[in-house]
Amino acid sequence: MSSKQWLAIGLLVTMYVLHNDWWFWSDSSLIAGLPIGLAYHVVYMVVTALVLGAVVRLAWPTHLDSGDER
Amino acid sequence: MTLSIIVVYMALVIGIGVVSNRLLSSTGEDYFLATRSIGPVVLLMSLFGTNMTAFALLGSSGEAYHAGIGVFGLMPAISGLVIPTVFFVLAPRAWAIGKRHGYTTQVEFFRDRWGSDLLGLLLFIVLVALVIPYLLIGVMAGGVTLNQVTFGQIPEWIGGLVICAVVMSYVTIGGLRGTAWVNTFQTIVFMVLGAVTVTVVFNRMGGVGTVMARIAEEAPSLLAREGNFSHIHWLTYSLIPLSAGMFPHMFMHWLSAKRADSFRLTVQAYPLCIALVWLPPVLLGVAGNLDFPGLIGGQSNSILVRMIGLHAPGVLAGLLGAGVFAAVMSSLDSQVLSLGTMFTEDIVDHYGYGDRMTDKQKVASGRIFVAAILLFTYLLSLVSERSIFNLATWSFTGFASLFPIAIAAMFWRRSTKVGAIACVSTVVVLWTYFFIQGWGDRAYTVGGTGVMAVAVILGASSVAMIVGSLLSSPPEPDRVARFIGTR
Repeated sequence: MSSKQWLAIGLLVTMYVLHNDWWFWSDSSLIAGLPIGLAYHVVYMVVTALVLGAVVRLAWPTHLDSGDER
Repeated sequence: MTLSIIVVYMALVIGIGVVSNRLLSSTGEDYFLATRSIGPVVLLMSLFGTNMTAFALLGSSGEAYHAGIGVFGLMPAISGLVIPTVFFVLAPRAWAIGKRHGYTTQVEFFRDRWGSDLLGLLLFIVLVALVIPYLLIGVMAGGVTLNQVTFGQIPEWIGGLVICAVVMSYVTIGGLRGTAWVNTFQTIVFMVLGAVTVTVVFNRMGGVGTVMARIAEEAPSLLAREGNFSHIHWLTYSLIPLSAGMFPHMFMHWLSAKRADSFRLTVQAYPLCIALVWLPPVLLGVAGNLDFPGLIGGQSNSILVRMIGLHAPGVLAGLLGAGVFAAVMSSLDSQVLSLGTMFTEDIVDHYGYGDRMTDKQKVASGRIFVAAILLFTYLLSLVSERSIFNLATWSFTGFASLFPIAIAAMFWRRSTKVGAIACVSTVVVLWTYFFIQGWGDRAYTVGGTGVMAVAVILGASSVAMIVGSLLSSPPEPDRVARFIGTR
């Protein structure tokens, strides 16, 4: 695998780890009117979209665009 | 007014099916796969609409009512990462292989990958059985919604019947092209209406901040995850979205893409689409504790509709009803079409009847099977009282546990039909065991440990795939080359 593909995998693993926000687990305080655990995951999903955009640029299987699976 | 809006919406959906029929050629490939011509935007909308169902609207609000805001992190947040990643890894490859070899269904794909009729038949039965609870939640949601927006005037059995009739109409008229177009329209409808609904309701309740401050005083446990979820439950639940890699209806939409790079937009935009759809129901489900305290179990399925009925009756209730119907039907249509396609291609055609049939007769056989499945599901909905979230989780557990065969088919050269059959058989046995164990327990986990059944079944099915393959003879190099290429 290329270094770009390894970087893409690293980004995805990092996002998986960040999903498990034990640090807000028992925190029910409000931030901007939303519970902090909910606000965190809303922001998390925006960041996920940005990361997936980067993953597509880094590691898209361009050889498949011509219909060739090899 | 409420009913009028829903009736107009239904007519509109059938109208789109009719228009797409005018563009439909009479070949089986156009009916089942829209001649592999779906571009990036319609592909995103149809995949997303197919994936989001009553689970996302009624199921999530019902679950958030009991378990609080953690539902958003538990399901949509991890789905926003896992599902697009699954698409990234599998969809362009499945599309390229499917186009090259002319595959129409998932069963055909896997049967040919390992050259096993037994595997094909086993998969057909398992996939149909797992789709049925998924169909069931859609039909139940139609009944609940129509009943609640009309304040009980229309019994639930009529709502379910209406959903089945409308879906049957436009699927049989328009095939996959009609389904993709209708899904695009319906996805836009439920995304927009979800945002409008939550805005209007929270404005009338004094704003999100005010409502959450009241929840903090009256039911603070709903604003945190402590006490509602354990860490191990949270971690093992993250395996559930792998199910997207094995849904037959998603697989069929993958094959309908125009090009492999049509999936790029889907992969990037998916998390935002999920956030937009799931946030309003979760907020309204939590807020529902203020207006409708004390709902038990599956009663909370209707909390979203109850909140609209209380705070914004009339036009908005009608629009919300249309939005829920949109979410339900945009999944139901693809599910029944994929089942019809598998029946036509993998049973009727594969076992020799197709040789004596024209393309039109093949399409007709798919339509008859679709009607039979819908009728069966509808009858089942009349006697089922399960939680929508719970039913969906069991269905997704089965699909996610089959994930190893998708990975092995496209990436593992040494995998064999023995391994694949062992994998599917393991899922059948363990899923049935855990389903019986968990029947009637909304919060069932393995032995009360917090571990979701999916973790155990997926682990076992992966081991079965590996051990079964390594203990059997290596596959023919030509067959491997067709799917994974040469070294």
